[in-house]
This record gives sequence, structure tokens and C-alpha cells, in this order.
Amino acid sequence: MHPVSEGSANVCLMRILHTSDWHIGRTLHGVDLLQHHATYFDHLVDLVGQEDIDAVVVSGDIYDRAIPPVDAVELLYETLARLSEKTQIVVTPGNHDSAIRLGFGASLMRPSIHIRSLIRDIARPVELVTTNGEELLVYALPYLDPDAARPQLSEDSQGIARSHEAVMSAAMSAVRSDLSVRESRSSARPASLVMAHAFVVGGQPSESERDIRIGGVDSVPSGVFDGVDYVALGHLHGPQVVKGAGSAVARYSGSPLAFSFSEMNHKKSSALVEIGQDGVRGEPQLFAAPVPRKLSEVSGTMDELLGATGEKYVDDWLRVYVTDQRRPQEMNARLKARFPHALVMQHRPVGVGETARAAITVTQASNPAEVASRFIEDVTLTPPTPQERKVLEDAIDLARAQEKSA
Amino acid sequence: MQLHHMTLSAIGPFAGEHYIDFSALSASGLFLLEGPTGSGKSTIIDAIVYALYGKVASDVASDDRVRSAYANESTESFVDLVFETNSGIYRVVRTPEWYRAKKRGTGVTKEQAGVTLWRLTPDDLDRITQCYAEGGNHEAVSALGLGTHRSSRMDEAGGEIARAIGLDRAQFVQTVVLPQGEFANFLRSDPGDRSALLQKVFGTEIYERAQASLAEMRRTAVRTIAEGEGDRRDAIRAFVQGADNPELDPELLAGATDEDLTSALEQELERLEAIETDAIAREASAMAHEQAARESFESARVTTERFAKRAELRTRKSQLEQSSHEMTQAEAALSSARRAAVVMPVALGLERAAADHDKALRESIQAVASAQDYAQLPELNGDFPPSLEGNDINRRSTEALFVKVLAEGRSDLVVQRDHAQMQVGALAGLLNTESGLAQREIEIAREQTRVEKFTRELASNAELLAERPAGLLALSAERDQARSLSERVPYEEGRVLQAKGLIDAFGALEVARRGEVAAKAAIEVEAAKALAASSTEATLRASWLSQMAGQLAQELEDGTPCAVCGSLEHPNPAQLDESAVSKAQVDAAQSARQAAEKVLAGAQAAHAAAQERVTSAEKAVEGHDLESAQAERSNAEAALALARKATGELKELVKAVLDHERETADLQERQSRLGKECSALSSKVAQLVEQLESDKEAVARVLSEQPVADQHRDIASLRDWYAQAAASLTRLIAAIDALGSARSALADRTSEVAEALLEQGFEDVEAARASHLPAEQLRNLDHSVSSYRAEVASVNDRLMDEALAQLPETIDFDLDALREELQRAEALNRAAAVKSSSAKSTLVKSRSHESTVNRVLSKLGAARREVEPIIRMADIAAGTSPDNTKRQTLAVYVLVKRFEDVVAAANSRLVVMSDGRYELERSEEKEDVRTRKVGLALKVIDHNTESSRDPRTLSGGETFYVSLCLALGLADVVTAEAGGVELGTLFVDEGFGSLDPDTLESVLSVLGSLRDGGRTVGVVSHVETLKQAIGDGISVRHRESGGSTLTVRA
Repeated sequence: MHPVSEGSANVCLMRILHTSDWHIGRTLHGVDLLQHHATYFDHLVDLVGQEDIDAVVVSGDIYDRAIPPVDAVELLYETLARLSEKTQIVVTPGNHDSAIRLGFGASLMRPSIHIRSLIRDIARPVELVTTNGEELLVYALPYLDPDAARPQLSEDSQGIARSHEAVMSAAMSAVRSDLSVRESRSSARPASLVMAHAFVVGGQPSESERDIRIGGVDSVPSGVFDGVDYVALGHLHGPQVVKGAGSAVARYSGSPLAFSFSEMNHKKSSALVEIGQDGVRGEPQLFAAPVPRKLSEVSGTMDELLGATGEKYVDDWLRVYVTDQRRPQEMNARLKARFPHALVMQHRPVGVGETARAAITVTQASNPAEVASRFIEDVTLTPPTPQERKVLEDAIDLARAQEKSA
Repeated sequence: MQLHHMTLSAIGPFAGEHYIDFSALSASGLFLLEGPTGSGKSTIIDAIVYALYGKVASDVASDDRVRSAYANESTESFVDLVFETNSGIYRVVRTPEWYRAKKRGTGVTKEQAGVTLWRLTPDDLDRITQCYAEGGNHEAVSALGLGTHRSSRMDEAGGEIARAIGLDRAQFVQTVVLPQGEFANFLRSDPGDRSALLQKVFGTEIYERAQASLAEMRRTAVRTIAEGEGDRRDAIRAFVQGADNPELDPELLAGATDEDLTSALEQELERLEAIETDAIAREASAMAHEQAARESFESARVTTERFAKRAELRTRKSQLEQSSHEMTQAEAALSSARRAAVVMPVALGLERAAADHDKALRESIQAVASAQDYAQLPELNGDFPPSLEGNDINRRSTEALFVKVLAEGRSDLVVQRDHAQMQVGALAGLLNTESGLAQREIEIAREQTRVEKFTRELASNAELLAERPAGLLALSAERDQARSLSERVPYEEGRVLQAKGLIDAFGALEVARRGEVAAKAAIEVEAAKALAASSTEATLRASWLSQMAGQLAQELEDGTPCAVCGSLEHPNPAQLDESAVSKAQVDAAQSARQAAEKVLAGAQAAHAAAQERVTSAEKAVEGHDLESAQAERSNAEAALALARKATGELKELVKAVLDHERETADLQERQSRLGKECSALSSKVAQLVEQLESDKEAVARVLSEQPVADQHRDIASLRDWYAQAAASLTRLIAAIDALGSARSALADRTSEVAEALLEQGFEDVEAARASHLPAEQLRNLDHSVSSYRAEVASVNDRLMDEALAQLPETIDFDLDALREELQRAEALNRAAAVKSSSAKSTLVKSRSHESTVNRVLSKLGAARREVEPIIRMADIAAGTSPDNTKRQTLAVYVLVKRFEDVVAAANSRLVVMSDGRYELERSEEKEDVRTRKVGLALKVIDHNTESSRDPRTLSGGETFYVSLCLALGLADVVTAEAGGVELGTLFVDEGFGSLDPDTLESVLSVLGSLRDGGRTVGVVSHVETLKQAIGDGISVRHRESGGSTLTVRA
């Protein structure tokens, strides 16, 4: 907590580092990313130390799978241990995690580690209090699967509709009511932060997010988040701001690593937010994540790729499009030799020169007599004579008659 | 094909009834059927396939799984599925075979499997959706009774469903449902089966059929050609047989080309023509030869005949000469007989005349005898009657005298006769008169009687007439009286009414008076009542007041003001009354009193009204009294009755008068008529009497005049006498005449005879008679003589004939030899004719055979030309012709491009799922040694090794996602064009467990991307990741009580 002299009053702000969508254990086209995760976590720990972070909020998709691989679990354990020495950390499960498994032993953890995976705890915020007595209420919403969340969130017998929007609205109303209760009880307006894992309208998805459609709708309107200061969103992997959340500032921190070629051009980062009594101060500060190996895409002919054009991509994880007319011999092997980190190698010939396989498209709408004549021409290299054509037409009429009588 | 609603009951592990809303699930695009192993996830897919096709999805699975073992014996198993295809919306309810508890008795009985199919309209579908949305179940939906019933027969319904979907079960489970363990069927299938599926899916079966038709046409064509060649052979054979030329070999000719054949036939025809010409010539010469032989023979024969003839005649002639003498004699007899014949008739006549004369004479004698009585006869001198006996001379003279006398007296006799006849006539008239006299007298008497009768009648009528006028007068008087009486009716009616009115008024007056009295009485009663009520009320009020006062007084305290008056002292407090009276009672009494007063007022009013009535009634009867009014009434009524009666009688009286007058008129008329008749009759009678007298007189006169009047009393007998006289005289005259003529005739005849005898040369009649011959004999003799003469003449004539006369005396040729010669010539001629005709017929037949052959040849040529393209096309289409460079059949050719499109679409997903490692490729090779067809084989290219592999060498997981890509690719291509089978929904049953997590992610992302294309994919899996990844679906759970249950999350 840092007192900042700002004009007349001394306003104290909490410094919150917002990150999400770690997906520990994920592979990229078969390549294990654990090492890259480790690199990022080292960066994170250093950042926390350097920037005097009051709390780290991780908004879901900690693991990539419900039952993650063993070394992913180990890595998370280590990272939480290191982080919790320096700061508070609030973790919520996303749609990739198994909430129960992630939240195992949450209450047994160190006090600085808050793993909030239970829906019933939604309205019980993590009260971050600094030594100066500054307070920030962090409402950590786990990923709300409508089927699981509906029964727990509904107060009356009416029930909630089976959609993301409905459950999020219900959760947010619980949050708001808790906030108002507190507000009424204390003198100052508490600063509030909501962690949520959802697809909020206005956000731009990439290929690597799982589709969480329920009843055909996967998104939540941003207006449901009105009433808090900052919404720390997770689920979309591109760092972006979401508009329309009322008074709140809503943001996706994005994933720390690129998990598919569609994220090639994202600038992966973690967001540092300063929140005080008056809400978010200024713009969040973005700290770029380390990129041990970047993702690239290149296309060209085999010769080009093997030559100068491909030179700068040699170390990258590469998606290669080979544009030769005919697929080059040993394409994959040669590309792999040139680009040891080539992950996707496709042959995409350019232009209209389709190797016509000497056949025509025959649909039900085709005229059978024409098709038959074309057939004769194609296989015998001469078109049928008029008498032969008549024979074909007779045969087709006979076939039609049989069809009708059949 | 899209699924809308499914309800299943007692199927698989599901004992109860469960409903699945597929349209809601389809809205999500991707849904998951999850649950533990064996809970029944695949059963849901099986239920769909079973509902559509009557058999579960997996080929190897048994249909026993359909009926639930957990259902009790009386619950019916069924699947109720509503689905939609391009052909329309359908609802099918299918029940498997099951054993149901018997309704009567213990044990079970088998219920056969059944199916019912309905066709629905979009409205029906909406209503069903609504029914389900409102919580309805299968029964409720069935009760709606929607849709047109299409079939309840397994085969029929099955056929219709298969047609609607466009696929049969085997094909369905390769494209729409990829069952557990069998998803790779399409990938691994035999290109033959693949071809069948693709044809079905793309609707190109017509080309397969066209290929078959071409094969059929080819067979027919080949058969036609064979037949044509058979015909050719037969025609050649027929020709050769007809031509009858041993040098012609039918086999050789059959083998020859058409040109050679034609020319050979022409040659043969020429040869036959030459033969014919020769035969004709020969025939002509034979004929001439025969002609000559015949002529010579004929002439010889004739000569021989003549010779014979002449000999015969000569013989005859000598015969005749022998009998000439006889003939001469016969001729003489003949001539004398002829002469006698002339005389005989004359002699006969003479005899007859003599007889006639005799007869006439006798008659005359008799006539004279009979006429004696009536006439004056000439003198006969006692020679009457003349004797007819005696000798000739005596008799003759007596006769002559008799005759003479008679002749002389004839004219007198005639006179007498005429006179008698005249008298007869004259008396005829009088005869009539005499006979009628009696009758006339009778008539006259009758008429006289009538006259008397008329006279009497006239007299009586006159009397009657005299009396009439008096009666008329009396009737008229009556009538007039009745009339005047009847005219009084209205007046009398008025009187009656008036009298009645008056009497009524008296009555009213009486009533009014009585009413007034009653009203007055009522007033008194009511007044008493009112009084009583008011006193009651006063009493009650006083006691109430005193009570109140008493109560108030109770409370009074000295020193405190009184509530009523305010004084402080209470010297005289009221006493409390014992009887408690309440205000209510007082009020009641008051109201009673008020009521009584009201009633009283009413009674008074009534009384006033009654008085009014009395006054007015009195006015009405002023100046009259009741008795006179009543008397008046009865009088008037009596008079009225009288007048009415008169009215009734008037009509009759009028009529009676008229009748009377009419009768009188009739009577007068009759009288006059009668008078006329009577006078007429009298005059007539007088006339008749006069006539009678005159006639009587005439008759008497006549009688007296007659000469013989004393013999006759009346005219009748007189007339008879005269008649007889006339008759006998007539007879006598006739006899006289007859006698005269007979005598002259006799004389004539005698002279004739004498003449004839002289002429003919006979002495007397006897001589003539002797020569006479009967006619018959005469004829015969004449005949034989004349015939003899004739024959002689003819023989001589014939012998004189020139031909015979010229004949030589002897013959010098041999007739027999000539005859033989002739016969030989005839035979030769016949033979030549036969030969000639046979040559002609052979030629004609051969010509016709030749034209047949030509016809067959041209037909065959045309057929060959026609058939050639058929055979060529059929061979090319079947892939067997060497011209078909690709060796590809037509059916496969049309599929090749589509198949390539499918493979390309599959590849676009496969490259993602395999990270570019695998690619599918269509191959021209045979996949297997056994398979025939080429062109639809599949190969998998592994880009890591750049080699192509048989798809059967892929691993389990690889096979799974490659098959999935193929299925999706097939669906893409099909959906892209209209008219193909629509593969909207896809079910994948397990297989995800064989994928590693990365591959699973890519497969999921591919499946997720399908949602955007509007497809629906239902996935069955127990894999945890999928549960997290796919939000919508069906959860299947075991139940503790056994069986399973399902929940739909959509």
C-alpha cells in the first residue's frame, strides 16, 4: 500500500497484478510447453518482488485439463509457494480446471494463498487489508457452469435460467448485495474487484479458447459487472479491454504464452492495476511476458523456404505453407530438416491450376445423357457418334422407366 | 435428416418413459451423451436406429437388447420418434416383440413387434412440440391424433422411412450414425459397397441402371443378329430346294458374302428361265403333231360309218317290198269305210226325227184332253183321241187329220187363253181389297174409341182451369203478409235490447246500494280498530315514559341536576313501573296505530266511491220502473220471434206462388193441344168409313158380273179358275206347234238320207252300215298304210343321197392303226405340257425365294448397323472394351469426382486433426486381389514417410479420427448440393477414449466448428474432458433400483 499524495487527500492504492489462463500442462501441436511456463513463472516471481505487488489475481484456467499431468501439478505447487512468500495470491478455477480438484485443501493453505473454487463462497470476498488499513474486497468468482451453478445461486424457488448470463447476473447480484451491506456498515466506500472467468461480449476470441456454449449462447453481456471497480476477466487469451461494464473497468489479462498460431501476434503480458477508494487509478500497466520461442507463419515455394526467405524463421515454432504447384518430394522431411521447430507443414498450391483428374462433377441435376456422352469421350478420347448417343439416351430412358416401376 | 422429439419407454436399461427434445439439443450444435459404462448411452442411439429401421445400430448387436429387462410385465416398450427429412415430417412409433402378462390367467403371452407411421404437417409438428413443452408425454401426443396415418405394416413403413431418409440401415450406420466399434466401416469398406453407398447418397443410381440397361440392350441386339442370320440361312435353303439344282450347296452359299450370294442366285434364275423357254417350244410341236393324227383318223372313221349305213338301207328296202301287196288291200277297205262314214250320221238323224214326231203327237193328245174343261175346242169328230195303233197308212191319215184340225183351231185357242190371262190380272187388285176389308173395319173402331177419350179429357181439364185463379190469390196474400212481418225484425231487436239495458241498470243500482252499505259498515269497524290501537299506543307510551322517568328517577341524587329538567331538587321522583316496556314495543304500537289509521282512511275512501256509484246508477234508471221494463222486454222478444219466423217462411211462400202460376200455364197449353188432336182424329175417322163402304160395293159388283159367279163366292177362287184355264190352253198351243215342226223335220231327214246314199254309192242304208268301221279302227288302218308309204319313200331318198351314192364299194384303210397313232400323239403332247408347266412354276418359286433372300439380307444389314453402336456403348460402359482406356465403368465414373470432393473435404479436416501428417487419396488400384471395380479405392498418405498406406494399417485412434473426417467430408459434399440425401445430424458413439489429449482437443475444435455450419453432432463418450467441454447433452445414470434414467440438459 502506497500513500500517494494526490492533491488534497492522501489516497492509498492497492497494487494488484492481474493474470489468467496459465493452462499449465498444455502442449502446442505436440510440443510440451512446461519449460516455457517455468520461464514465465520465474518472470512473475521477479515482477512481484520488483513492483511491490500487493496481490496477484489469477482468473481461471490454471491447468489445461481437469486431471493435469504430474509435472504440471508440481510446477504449480512450486510457483504458489514462491509467490506466496512475497505477496497474496487469489486463484479461481476456469472452465478447463476441475474446480473441486483445484480447490483441494484450499482452507489448509498458507494464509496468503486464496484458492476460491466454491460457488457458495461467491459473496464472501477475500478481504485484502494492508498494514495501513487499506482494504480491497476481492470477489473471486470461479467459472460458473450454468448446470452446476444454477441450483446453488438461486435464492427463491423460481430458479435461474440455464445460461451464462443468468448465472453471472445472479452471482453479481449476490456480490452487489454483499457490497452494499458492507457499504452501509462502514463509513468509506470499499474498493472492490471481481474476478470472473467468462466470455464477455465485446471481447475478441482466438482459436485456442474452448467453446463454452450452453444452449447455444456462450457469452455474457458486460453490463452485468456494473457496481464494482475492476473486473479481472479470464478465459480469452488475448489481452484486451472490454467496454460497457458500467462503472467498472473490465479487462482480460490474456494468457502468458501463445497457445495457438492464432495468438501469434498477441503481445502477452500481465496487467498491473492500482485500485483505491475512488476506483481504478489511471490505466493498467502492462508487463510483457517473456517469449522463449515465438510463433511464426511463413509461406512460399520450397526453394524460397529453403533459401533466404526462410532464414529468419529457423528458430521459431513455425506454420509453413508450401505453395508449389505440385507437392515437393519429401516435403515434410526437408522442411523439418530446415526448420527443426516447424509444427504445421501444409501444401497449399496457389492459383487455379487444379489437377483436373479428368472427371466432371455429376449431380442429380445433371443431364444423364450429357454425362454419359462425356464419359464416353473421356474414356475413349472420342465423342460418341449420333447413333451411339441415341443408344445412350435409350438406355437412360429404359433405366428411368425401371426406376419408376420399381 | 433432423430429429425433433423422441420418447422411449422400457427400452434397454430404461425401465420408465423418457422424453428427449432433440431440437433443443440441436440448437447447441454439439451435445454429449455421457454416463458410466453400461448405463445406456448407446441405447439412445440404438433407439433412434431401431425406430427408423427396426434394428439396432450395430450389426453384431442383438435386437434382444431393445426390450428392457427392468420393465414390469405390463409396461409396453416403444420408441416414439418425430423426425424430418427433405420428403417431409414423420412420426414413427415402433414396439419390439415382448412378452406381456396375460390379461386372463397367469403367465405371459407374446406380443408381436409393431410399427405405426404418420406423416405430419409443420403445424402438426408445432402442436406436438407445444404438447411436449407443456409436459405432455407419448400418450398425450398420441391422443392429439395428428398426422396422416401412412402404414402399420413393418415392410411398408420400413420402405417408406428408407425412402424418406434416402438410405437403408447399412448405409445409415456408415454416414449418420457411427456406432461403437463400427465407425470405420466406410473407411475400410470394399469399393463395391462404397460405390453403392455413394450412389445412394448422391442419387446417381440412374447410371448404374443405365449401365445395366445397356448390357440388356446388348444382349437383345446380339440375339437379334443371331436370329437374322438364322433367317438368312433358312431363306438360302428354301431357294436351293425350290431350284432343285443338285449343284447348289446351301452351306457354301450361306458362307458366301452377300454379293457373291446375290450373283449366284441370279445365275440360277437365268438357268431356270432357259429351261422354261425350251419346254414351251417342245410343247408347241407336240401339239401340232397330235392335231394332224387326229384329222386323218377322223376322216377314216367317218367313211367307215357311211359304208355301214348304206348297207343297212339296202336291206330295209327289200323287206318293205315284200309286204306291198297287203298294203294295197288295206287301202281299198279304207276307202269304202270312209264312204260309209258319211252316210251313217244322216241315217241316224232320220231315226231321231221319227221318234220326235211320235212324242209330239202324244203330247198333243194329252193337251187336248186336259184343256177340254176350260176351252172351246175345235171339232174332232169323235176321232179324238186318234188311235196310234194300227198300220201305217191308217195311222198316218188319222194323224194327218188330227193335225190339221188342231192347226186350224190354234188361233182361237190363243184368243181364249189371252182372255183368261187378262182376267187373272184384273182380279188381282180386287183380291187385295177383299182381303183387307175386315182389318179396316177393326181399325176404324179403334180410332173411334180414341176420339171419345180425348173428348172426356178436354172436359175435365176445363174444370180444373176454372179453379186456378182463386188459389193463386190466396197464396199471394199469405206471401205478402209474411213479408211485412219479416220486415219488422230489426225494429223488434232494438226494442229487446233497450228493455234488457234498462233491466241491467236496475241490477246495477241494487249492487251499488249494497256496496255502499258494506262500505259504511267497514268504516265503523276500522274506526273502532284505530281507536283501540291509539289507546294501546298511548298506554304503552305512558308506561314507557313513566318507566324512563322512573329509571331516570332512580339515578337522581340530591344535589346533582336532573338530566331532564336540570333542577337540583327532586321532590317527586317518578316511580319505576313494574311492567317493563321497551321502546321497541312502543314503536310497534305506534306503527300499529298508524297502520290502523291508514286502513280506516282507506275504508272511508271506499265508502265515498260506493256512494258515487249509487248516485250514477239511480240516474240511469230515472223515470222507469222494473216491472214495466220486464214486461216490455218479454213483449218485444215475442214480437221478434214472430217476425223471425215470418222471415223463415217468406222464401217458401214466394216460391209457392211462382209454382202455382207456372202450373196454371202448363195446364192451359195442354188443353189447347188436346183440342186440336181430337178434332183431327174425328175427321180422319169419317174419311175411313166412307172409303170402306165404297170398296165393299165394288167387290160385290164384280162378283155378280161373272158368268160363273155362282160357282165362286169370292174373287180368289174366281181368279184361280181363270189361271188354270190359261195354263191348259197354253199347253195345248205349244203341243200343236211342236207337232208341226216334228213333221216337217221328219220329211227333211228322209230326203237327206236318200241323197247321201246316192252320193256315196250305196244301195241302202244297210249296205253302208256293212262297210262302216268304227272310228278307231279306221284311224289305225289309215295310219299303217300311210306309214308304210312314208318309209318306202324315205329309204329311197336316203339311198339317193349324194354322199352314200358316191361311196366306193370297198374300204381300203386300217382304222385301228390310225387310232393308235392318234393316241400316241396325244400322250406325247401331254408330257410336253407337264414339263412346260413345271418349268414355269419352278421359275416363279425361285424368283420369290430370291426376293425373300434379298429382303432378309437388307434387314440383316440394317440390324447389324443398328447393333454396332449398342454393343460398343455397352462394352465401354461396362469397362470391358479395349476402347475404354481408363477401364472405368460408367457408374464409377460419375462418382469419381464426387468421391474426390469427399476426400478433399475430409482432408481439410484431417490435416488439422493430424497436424498435417495424414492425407487421404483416391486410388485407381484395386485395394484387394478379390475386388473388381476400380476407381473408388482409398489410400492414406503418411507425409512423415511420404508413403501411401492401406487405411487398414492405421492405429485405432487414427482410424477413429480419419473415419470421422470422412463422415464429415461426405456430409459436407452432400449437403452442398440440392437433391442429395441430407445428412444433417451425426452421431458418434465412443472412440474418443482412444485419442490422446491433444488430438482430442483438435477433434473437439473441429466438431465445435461444425456448429457454425448448422450441423448437429451428438457424441457418446465417458471421457471427462468432453464433459467439461460440451455443456449440453443427455446424462445417463444408473438407478439403485436397477435400470437407468436420463436427464436432458439443453
